[in-house]
Amino acid sequence: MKRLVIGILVIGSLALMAISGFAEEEKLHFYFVSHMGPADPNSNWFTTAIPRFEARYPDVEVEYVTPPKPNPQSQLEQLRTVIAKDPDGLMVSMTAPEMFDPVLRDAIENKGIPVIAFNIRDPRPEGERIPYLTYVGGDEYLTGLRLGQAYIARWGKPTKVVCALFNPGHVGLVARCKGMTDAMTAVDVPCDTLALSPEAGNSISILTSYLQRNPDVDVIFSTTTFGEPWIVQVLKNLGKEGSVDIIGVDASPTSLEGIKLGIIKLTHSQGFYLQAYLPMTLLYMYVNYGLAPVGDVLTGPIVIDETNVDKFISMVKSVFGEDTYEELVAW
Amino acid sequence: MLRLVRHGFSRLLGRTEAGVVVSLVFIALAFLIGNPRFFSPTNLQAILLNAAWVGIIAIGQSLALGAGVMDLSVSSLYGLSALVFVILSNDLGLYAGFVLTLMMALAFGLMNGVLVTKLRINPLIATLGTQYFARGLIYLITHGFLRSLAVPLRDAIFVRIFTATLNGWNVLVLWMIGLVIAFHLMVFRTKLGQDFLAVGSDPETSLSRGILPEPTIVKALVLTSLLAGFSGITAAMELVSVSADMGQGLELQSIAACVLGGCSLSGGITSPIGAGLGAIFLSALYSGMIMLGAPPYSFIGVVGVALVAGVALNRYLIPWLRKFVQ
Repeated sequence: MKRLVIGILVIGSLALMAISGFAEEEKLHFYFVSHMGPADPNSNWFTTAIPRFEARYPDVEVEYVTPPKPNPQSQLEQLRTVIAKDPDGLMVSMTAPEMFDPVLRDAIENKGIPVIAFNIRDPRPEGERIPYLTYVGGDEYLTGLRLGQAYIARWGKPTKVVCALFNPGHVGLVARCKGMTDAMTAVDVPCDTLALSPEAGNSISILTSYLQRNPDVDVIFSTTTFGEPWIVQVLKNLGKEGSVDIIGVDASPTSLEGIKLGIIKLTHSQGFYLQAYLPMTLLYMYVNYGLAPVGDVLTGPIVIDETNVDKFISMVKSVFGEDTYEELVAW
Repeated sequence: MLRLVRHGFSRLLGRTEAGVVVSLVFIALAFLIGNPRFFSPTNLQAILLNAAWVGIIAIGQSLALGAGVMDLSVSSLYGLSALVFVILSNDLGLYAGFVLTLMMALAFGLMNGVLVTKLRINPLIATLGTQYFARGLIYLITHGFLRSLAVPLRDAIFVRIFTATLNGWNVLVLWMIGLVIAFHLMVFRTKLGQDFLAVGSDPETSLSRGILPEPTIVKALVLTSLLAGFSGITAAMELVSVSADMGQGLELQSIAACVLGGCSLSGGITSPIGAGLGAIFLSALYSGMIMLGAPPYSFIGVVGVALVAGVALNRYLIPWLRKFVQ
């Protein structure tokens, strides 16, 4: 009798394992391999969108993989690891396209893994670039350009602009500065790019010296949200509050409330929720039905000012929750 | 008279801090000639405020270096302390936030000390590990978002003690000067300070003199962590917001400030005054390069060259000047 019970238990366990393994086999496995790690608040859009997508498409499992620091080499290592798992689809932010090229090209052409670029594209022309299905994301250059153009259209030509580059090694932020510079030089307004750092003390000291040397600067473009309170601090110390305008970035609680309070003139959204949800949907459609996108999908930039800020506040609150939103406002 | 001046110079050049003093005078003159606005009160206030945060950390680093160890965790502990102070103060009030944050910093110092002395892990590796651990906690807590001190707390008297300005000069600079003097006296006038230097010079010899190296190293690392924590708290009070990257790179800046100030990386020779002056030198260098109109996108490279030149000056020019004066 005892042997019979043990036998039934063993066979039952094996059957359960086989069923669960079969069920596991049935699911599609998609991976985001992203540079936006735990230090980047924008990773929250992805970790919010993934369970919603999985609830809508229960036959898909999506994992968000990211290095602890935004380092292309670490991202490449994670990319290799994920490819070794033979996934059904990959979504990759192209922080270092030429570094990723051989690995991704091999995955696409030899292993048949469909890839979608998100957030950062391969800037090389089609034919040279990594043969991914499509790009879903904003355009960093356009972010600077459109914000600069929107400022001029609304408040006229400034005297001089400085682009506060809080992470000089970040190609996306450099492109934002380039866009702002082009928007300003098109109307003969000088625009400097000032290399700062993610460390508050250093940045405050350098920006103070810069503004002292360049007293004619009347617009500061902050390339990151976290730098916005530091800029306000410097302007306060120099007695320039109100005489220098700040253009911010991202639909973050600090930037959005900055607009409501009149501290920040403009900010932007690059449609992060779409950047998270859309690539998963496109991969699903491609893998199941062969529906290949015919072009890149630009989700931003969308310029935000006091006329449309409330809509974005509602959206951000719906993703992060009202309490968290309030906690994250720097003002 | 000439003999007196020569004697004075000779004494100055004989001090550990001679190199950084000469370097400071040199860059001050260069920046003054390049752009007199370098010496405008607002610019000097910004330079000294930035130097104060790095300087307070560097004082602690000078104690650790004096005791023959290096603490790489200070940068993350600075950021974590700022963050924990903000969160605790918003919930429990400023006093509780202040005390509990310093207790956390103390715990980190003890952890570093235990790793180095009891588990015999190399100080570089041990403190690198705690640096990552503290940064990981910051990421975990913030998810990358800014965290800010509640608006009603920002103008509280307790906050003003550390952030008030007197004619534009932040009192934090006075705090740094006070701490520099206090810890300089501690190092050179108290038994604990002498123990640091003895252990840093040669742990075995110090043992033969009745000084136990292990507790001495633990004390040095605890003080280093406490000072990093204190610096982080004051930064949170002044800046009111804390970012996930706050403090990154400060461990190397604090070490650079110490080396510029005459501290030895191999232990036994240190100077909290030198470390403070080294922090001012670094901050002035950043600011001065911008004032001179160095290309905004490449001036950091120029700062690097000037930094190496400062250390080289310390090593080669000062001994030569010393001989020359004698």
